[in-house]
Amino acid sequence: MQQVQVIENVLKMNDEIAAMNRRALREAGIAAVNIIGAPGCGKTLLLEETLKRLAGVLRCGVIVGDLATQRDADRMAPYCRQVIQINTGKGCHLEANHVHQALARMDLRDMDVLFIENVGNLICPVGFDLGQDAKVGIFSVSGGDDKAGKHPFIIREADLLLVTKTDLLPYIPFDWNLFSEDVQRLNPQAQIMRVSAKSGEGMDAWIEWVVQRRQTGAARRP
Amino acid sequence: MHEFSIATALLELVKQHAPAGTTVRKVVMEAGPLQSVDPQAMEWAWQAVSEGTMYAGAELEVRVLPWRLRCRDCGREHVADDMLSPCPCGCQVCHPTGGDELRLVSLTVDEP
Repeated sequence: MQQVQVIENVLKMNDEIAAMNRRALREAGIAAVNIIGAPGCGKTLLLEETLKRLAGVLRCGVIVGDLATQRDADRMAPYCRQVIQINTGKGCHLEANHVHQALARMDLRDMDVLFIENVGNLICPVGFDLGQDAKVGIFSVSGGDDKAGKHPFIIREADLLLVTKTDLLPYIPFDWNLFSEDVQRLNPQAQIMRVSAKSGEGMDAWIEWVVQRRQTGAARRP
Repeated sequence: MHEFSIATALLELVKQHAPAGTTVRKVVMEAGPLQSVDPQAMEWAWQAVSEGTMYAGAELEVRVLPWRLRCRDCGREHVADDMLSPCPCGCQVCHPTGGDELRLVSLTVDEP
């Protein structure tokens, strides 16, 4: 019997493909945002409203992952020329190779921002680098104020956290102190924004964040 | 069930690192607490992906690492199984450091 010491990142292959995606996106001056949240937290409605507001401001692309159906792509297609739906079948998250294949079908010269709507899941997508510039974690008021502490990985990894559906606050108790204390503990740098895609509350700040992200990305362009 | 994807990636790494002609008996990996890897699910996933390959039957040992927590007030680090564990100094707020590890550590092989 012989022991072979290795010490290597298990997701090395995924990370290598993610690095290729990142290089291609940066060379094209595209800011890529990986959007991660549980099923039903409002990712797609947020993106629909975001695409409407960015029309004429930034050229957007969307890659959206779901186990099944084209429904999300169909919802976003009226507001965005480049929308690609990926069906992962049994896969609970997007991997770098999914994005790599989707990018090959997109015109990167005609894009400023790429939104990658991950499969609805707060756990599995977090560990898989896709080549994004930023990860945005989505939580909803209706999902509950205790969810940040229960999902430490996304809180640690997120550049920005959006708490959606704030229009429901009159009907659903949500303890902002509990939520932000958990976030503070896990990731003191993370920024939290409150938004409602339905009422429009907080959408200006979110849109401004996206525009800023694109500007810093363009400044980094090689 | 990200364990299945991790097991698939692990199998590729084992293929790369197993010396030619040897039989792999045991694979050791470690996972930081942020990765939410369930050892039992990981072992089942490993059995499923390695079945029918020359690595079938190799035992997988999953070592889940403890939290490493740095105290907000005194700056000292301690390790704990619970993310909410207070610092020995009494402070209730400790920030995790690391925790996202996901590594193949070693292989035990039979020499030809």
